[in-house]
Amino acid sequence: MLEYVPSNSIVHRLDPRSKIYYSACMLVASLVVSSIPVLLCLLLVTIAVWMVARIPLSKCRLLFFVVGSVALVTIGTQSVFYTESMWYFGSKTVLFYLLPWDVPIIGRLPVTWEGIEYGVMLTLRLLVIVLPSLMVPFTTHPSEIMLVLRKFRLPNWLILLLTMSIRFVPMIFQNLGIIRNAQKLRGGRSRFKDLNLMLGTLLIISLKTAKQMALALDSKAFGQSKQRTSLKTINFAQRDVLFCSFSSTVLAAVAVWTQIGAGWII
Amino acid sequence: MTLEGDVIARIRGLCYKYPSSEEFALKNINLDVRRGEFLVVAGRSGSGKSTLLYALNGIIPHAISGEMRGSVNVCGLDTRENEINVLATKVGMVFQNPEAQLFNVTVEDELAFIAENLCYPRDEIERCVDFALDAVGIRDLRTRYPFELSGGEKQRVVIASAISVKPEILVLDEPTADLDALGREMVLGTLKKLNEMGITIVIAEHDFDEIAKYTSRMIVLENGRIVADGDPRDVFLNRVVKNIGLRVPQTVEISLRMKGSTNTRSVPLTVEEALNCYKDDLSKIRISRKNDNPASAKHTKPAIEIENLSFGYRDVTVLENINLTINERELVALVGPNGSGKTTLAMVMVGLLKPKKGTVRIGGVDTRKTKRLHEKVGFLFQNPDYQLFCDTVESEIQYGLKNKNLKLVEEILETMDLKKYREKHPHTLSRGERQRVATATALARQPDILILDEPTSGIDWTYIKQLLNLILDLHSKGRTILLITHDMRVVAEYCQRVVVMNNGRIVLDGDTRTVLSKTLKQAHLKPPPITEISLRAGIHPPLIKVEEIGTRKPEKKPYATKQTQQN
Repeated sequence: MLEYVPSNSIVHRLDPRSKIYYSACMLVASLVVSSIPVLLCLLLVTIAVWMVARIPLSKCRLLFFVVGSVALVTIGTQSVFYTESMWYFGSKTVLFYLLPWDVPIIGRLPVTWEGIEYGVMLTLRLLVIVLPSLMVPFTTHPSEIMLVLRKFRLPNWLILLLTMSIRFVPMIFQNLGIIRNAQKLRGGRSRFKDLNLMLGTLLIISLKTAKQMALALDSKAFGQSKQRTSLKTINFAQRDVLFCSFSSTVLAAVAVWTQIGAGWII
Repeated sequence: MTLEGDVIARIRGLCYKYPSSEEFALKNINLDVRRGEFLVVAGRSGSGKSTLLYALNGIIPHAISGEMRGSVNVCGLDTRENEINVLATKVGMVFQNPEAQLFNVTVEDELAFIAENLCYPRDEIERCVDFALDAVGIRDLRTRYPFELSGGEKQRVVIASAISVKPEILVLDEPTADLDALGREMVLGTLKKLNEMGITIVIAEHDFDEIAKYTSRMIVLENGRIVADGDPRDVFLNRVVKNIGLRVPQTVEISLRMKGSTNTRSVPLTVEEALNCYKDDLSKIRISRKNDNPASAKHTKPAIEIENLSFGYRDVTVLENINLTINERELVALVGPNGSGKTTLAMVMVGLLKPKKGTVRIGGVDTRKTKRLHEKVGFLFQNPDYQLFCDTVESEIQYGLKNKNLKLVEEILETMDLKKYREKHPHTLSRGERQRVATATALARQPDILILDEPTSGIDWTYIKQLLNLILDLHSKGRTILLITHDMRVVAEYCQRVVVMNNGRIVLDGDTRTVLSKTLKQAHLKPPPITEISLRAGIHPPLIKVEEIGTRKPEKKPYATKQTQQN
């Protein structure tokens, strides 16, 4: 789902740190603002950056499905329950009722204009938070992500652990599939006992692999020195300065808008 | 201590005992490895091969503790006094399973890994990566994700990583055990090239057919001691390899069969050498071809019927238009390169995968319409570890049985020679024993059909032979057997019929001799040496077993013979 999409777009060539900074700016901006038009503007900025990054939409089918489902659920629930909250004191414009008669405790479930507005706002906020942060794994090669982690001075063992988990997690699922198949072929059922036995075998196999890996790491002199050098480096170039300035400007504009809205400046 | 002359590694009086063991794994080993040698370490599983290799690069005593006596000196460095990181610049290490030796997300990162760990400056790391890419010839893989590569490519990346810091010795522990013929050829070709560049190769192996021609010296280990050391021709000729239960190259077997030869120089290690030696002799020998169509093959009641089968995952087609009928009591080999669809086909046969198109019938019943398929078909996975779940061997055999037939369990324990292990945890047994337990579990249901997926890979010849004899026994008792394997010598010696797959299709199907005499190159397969030699010597149909070489034909002297008769 979060696979790197190879390309030579300008976003791909950016330092991963500036992409992380951009997603952080979008996160803060979306949290400080509650105005739908401003959030729409932020979404437009996000979409523009996605288009520049040339991420094919076919890669994001599952992602759109998940985000779309969350959006529908959010709008659906907020449209009914937002104005019913005991902390809501604003106006309440009922559009229609979901139930034709009064049901004890839940009432007639009114769908309100304010609720729909709030749901849309939450959905936009979600999109503005999620899409920029997803762009980081889509446009950054995993080895560059590891370099960023090194720059953030994470211990080498932790970085190795993250790298290996990219491979190890699918491998564990693959092994689990084979063991389950072996059980099925011997008439095993999905009882707790069978699942327990399956996990036992999986653990033994994983430990054996881990032992082999530990020997290989030893013979590759891993962990002999706390400081490792690196073949690749990441450079904060001029384009990164520009991109970070752009991100800061977006954040600043949103902050200014919010303060104007709050009547702080004027 | 420095090493004199061309000696690059010196082992003196080495004894080693693992922390959890009571017996020494290595007993008084004395060995000098000379610069530029291609040294093969042979021996059965558990003979101490891996332990000896671990002692060469400092894994023993630094990463695995235990009791170590004697000394190991590599490139002038005592392994006891120098840490693994110091030794890593002198000795590169490659293990059997490439998957467990790749830690990075690109090939170039993998090649830079050791140099980075040793804190080399950046330009030096770049030089290391370039050297490794060129030495192994994998420049085209530079930016690839290592886990997407084929088995042979993965292992070549692992080798490139091991030599990236230009070690003087490369130590390899059965690096080709999990590979198909193509992968094996790739890896051995790479090793040959590195050896020609001056890197000393020390490699543990138990399949000598391909590697023998590259070998300059061979040592044989048994119970932790060196029992033979010398030129591979000498070692094979004095029969020590065969006597301890390993399989000698078929060309050597041919040589022994042809003359009962004792002359080292005349022992061929390659098909070409064998042809040079015996091309003329082969036309003069009697040939006793064994029956290609034994009685059991005449049963025409189908056990497995596959019609127009296609199977795929999403957009990828794995099996395409497969039509295959296997009759009752047949012993069929299913061969083909890795990724050709053999295992997928087997999975469809046992009902674990549902066909996209077409039908599969087992004993006349459509696999989609029955849930009791596991009672008819026994399946043995490639790695026995995936099919062992229980705490004891006995409960393992009983697992999944509806009626606990104790008499049958006893019988299976007896047949598989597992009685002494009945209370042991299956995972504590050796690989060969685990394979036997896994086979026993497949037999517990008394299936009519037994499908075995690569049961011969990664285990030594003694175990393979035991397993194959058991399969033959089951076959003679009326079972239908489908054997998926890469080992063409096994196919030739044990199977009646061969089905060849490539790119998800069946490309050849027929009796073993006919299939082996056809060109198998397209499917990246090589016939056994005896078949290749006899084909190139003009013998049609070719020989497929060494036992088919009979005695020499008498010289034709018709006149003298007549006279003798008259007298």
